[in-house]
Amino acid sequence: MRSPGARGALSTLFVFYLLAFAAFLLWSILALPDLFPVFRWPYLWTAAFVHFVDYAIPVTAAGLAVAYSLFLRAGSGDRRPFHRLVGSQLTLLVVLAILYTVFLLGFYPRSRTLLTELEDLTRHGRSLLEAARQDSRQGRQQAALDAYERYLGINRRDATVSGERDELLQAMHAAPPAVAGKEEPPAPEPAEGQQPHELLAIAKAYFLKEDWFSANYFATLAEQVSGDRRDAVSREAARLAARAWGEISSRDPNKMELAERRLFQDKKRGYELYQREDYLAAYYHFLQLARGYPGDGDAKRYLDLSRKQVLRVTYFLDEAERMDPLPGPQGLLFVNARADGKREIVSIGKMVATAGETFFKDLEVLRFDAGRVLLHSQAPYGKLDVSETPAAAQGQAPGARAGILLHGIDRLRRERESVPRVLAGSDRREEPRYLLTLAPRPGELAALRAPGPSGRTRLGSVGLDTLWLARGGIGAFGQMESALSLEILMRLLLPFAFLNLGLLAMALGWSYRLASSRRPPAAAYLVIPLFPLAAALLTGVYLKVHRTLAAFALLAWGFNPALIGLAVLEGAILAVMLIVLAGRGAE
Amino acid sequence: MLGVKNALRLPALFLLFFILLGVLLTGLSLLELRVSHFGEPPQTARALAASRLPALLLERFPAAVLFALVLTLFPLYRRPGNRFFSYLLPMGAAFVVLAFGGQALRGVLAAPRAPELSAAGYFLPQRFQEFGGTVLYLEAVERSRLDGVVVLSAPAAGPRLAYLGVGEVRLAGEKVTLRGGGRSLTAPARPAYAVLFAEAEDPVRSLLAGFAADLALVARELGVRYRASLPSYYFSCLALVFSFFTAGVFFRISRWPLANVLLAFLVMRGYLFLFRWLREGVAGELAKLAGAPRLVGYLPEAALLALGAILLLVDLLFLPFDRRGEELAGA
Repeated sequence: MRSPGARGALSTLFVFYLLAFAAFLLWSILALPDLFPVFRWPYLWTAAFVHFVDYAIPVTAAGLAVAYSLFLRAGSGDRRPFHRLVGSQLTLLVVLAILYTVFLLGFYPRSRTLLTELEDLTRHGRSLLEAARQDSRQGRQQAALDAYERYLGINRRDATVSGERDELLQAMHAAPPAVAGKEEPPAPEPAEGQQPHELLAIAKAYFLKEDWFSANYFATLAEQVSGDRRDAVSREAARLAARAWGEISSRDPNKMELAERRLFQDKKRGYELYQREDYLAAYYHFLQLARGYPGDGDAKRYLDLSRKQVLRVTYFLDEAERMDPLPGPQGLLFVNARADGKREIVSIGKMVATAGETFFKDLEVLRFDAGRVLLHSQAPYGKLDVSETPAAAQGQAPGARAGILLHGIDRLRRERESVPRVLAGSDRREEPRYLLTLAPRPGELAALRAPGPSGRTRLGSVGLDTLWLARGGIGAFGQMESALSLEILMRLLLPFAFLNLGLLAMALGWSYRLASSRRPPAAAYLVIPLFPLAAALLTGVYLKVHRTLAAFALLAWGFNPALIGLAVLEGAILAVMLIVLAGRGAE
Repeated sequence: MLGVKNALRLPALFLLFFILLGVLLTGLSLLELRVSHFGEPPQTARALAASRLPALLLERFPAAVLFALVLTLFPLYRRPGNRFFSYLLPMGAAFVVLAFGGQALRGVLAAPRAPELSAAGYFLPQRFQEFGGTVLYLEAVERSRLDGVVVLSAPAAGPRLAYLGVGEVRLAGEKVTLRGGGRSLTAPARPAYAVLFAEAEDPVRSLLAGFAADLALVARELGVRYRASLPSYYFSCLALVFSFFTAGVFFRISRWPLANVLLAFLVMRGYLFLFRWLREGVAGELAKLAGAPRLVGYLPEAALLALGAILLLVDLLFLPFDRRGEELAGA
């Protein structure tokens, strides 16, 4: 900065920020909810950051006002017009406004989500631990182990519970269960993207090698890929598939060794299951087979193939459960429009999106029509399925883009599965899989929050991009468009408020600066902590007035005119503030 | 002569500030009312605004006068004029406007009958809305009948969604009761679009709400005094104007003008708090002890006048009127 006064102003602002952050950290410590120790510090830093962004405008305004009134005196610098005196600091204010915008629109929503998430995780972890101990006491060792593992996934540094889990493992006389993730990834599908004649060539090669299972598989695939075309390739593929199957059927197991016979019969049974499209049974069958015969290529290949088919209609429960500790939007609620005129309301406890996969927790669906409930069901988990959905077949609006698979299976045990629990009505489905077809696009889901007593709290954790994306058609999902639009407008307003109130504070500070070079008495400095408070009240009034004006404009004229009106208003205020600032004399 | 001229412009400035603030405060309140009742048909909304306007004007009127008086203190101390006139004229103008203006308003304004609000103003069809700690969804609203009602309860272990079917709404005072599907839900009667003004609870909003509540109490108390007797009404007006004006002494209390302004605002805010505390807390207790409720009823005004008198004495005896000028001359 060019003058000692200006340097003093900058230092004051920096001290204000530092002290404000320390105060917010203290506030967070005093208001710390009941959390696992491992979450406490992340929670405290995040909460302090959230408070800091919440109150950044008043803290900045107070800092600038105090700095300008105390340090930027006419006698402290050279005698230049005020606007030249503060020119570099205006640039600083603009830079600060940009930084504030980045924090507000970039990090703030995620931080708010994280705060809620850490509280929820602690609650969830405690209930898991309780369930684990109860299961352990009642002798349900496997269930107890699962709950312990999930608990330790959340609170991994809990040595006591870790010890309890180890004792349980010892009691079960087993090594820690194979974690699902350690399983080999499915082998790449050899037939993907290949032409019928290429598949037929592969089938022929296998046929010559007397690998009848593979020959049958590839020949059938070649026939399927040909579709309705009944050309030479298709006919030959059909013939080859039949011949390979004939070879499988004609083989006399009595002529084989015992182990070979058992393997052959098991493979044949599994293959039949696969051919019958009972993929779930085939998956568990080949899983056993692949474990028993790790070197058998057929078992491995058909395990991969059946897993791929299974994952088109179900999801693995362990994957869904692993999402529990991850942050994501909570309390989703929407009307799921159906083309058949029936109303469907969907409530989702939490949504977690990771790279490529999205899971849901605590789903509830209520479908009703003409005064009666058609279906009321609950599912603990669900997985987003973005594959093509037979929309018309399910009574959904045309163009439905995604669905939620509600059938969860255990990766290793057939006995454990999760299907929706029907609470009322009937679960008559037009297709075999448990699929909840979604009317909203996946990108819109995060904005479909259940309303609460405070709109800001509800939508504060939703990013501006999601709000913007969802705004257009959100009314169709039972959401109040005006609440969402107003949130967008108010969020866009905040950077302007930062700039305008910062400029006002500069002008006020300069207008009410020290008249002489003598310092005020020490007691006067005691009021400094009250400046942010006063600035917060001023900011509150400023935003309240804007909220009222924006709400009226929004309801009376719509979003775009309100947006333009707000931009014009903010531009006008900014111009006035700059004129006021420029008009301050240097004397 | 310049000093008298500077003092003479103060009542004019006060009137200007008062009109601007009056229009702003009442206008914003009307706008908020309009937005909150956006679900009502336009005629009903207009009739509602007309019926609430007199009450709104009377509620915002004292706030506009007191804020305008505070704003007048800024030019007063920026360009000090003749001390006697600088004190007398704005204070006199403020008293005249508050006492006689309020009296005239009460005499002139007669509130038209408020239109009867239907359930449609409190419920939005095919939209989720918060209702007494639950979330409500309804297909259609027809007078007091709601169709296709679904309730989402707070998070719990069991099912959260419940279908109530047809619901019947009853408005009773400040509460709305919904009965249907064997359940009865009650919530504060909040217009459907009032949710647009709902914001997160935080300390600043609580302070602002407390400030607004204290100003509303002052307005109510003035109404009570007016109905009781004119002298007591004038006495209350005088106490308010005098105390707020003399708090201006804090504008010159130290060498640091910005801190002075902040202190002056704090003292004025403190007056409102004191007024409420004495009226709602101490006065009642004292009346029980002293057995003279009428006399004790004037305790808030008496306290404000006493504090004002002390501050005026401090001002006259210890503080230079043109402190800024003296500081500049000293520099």
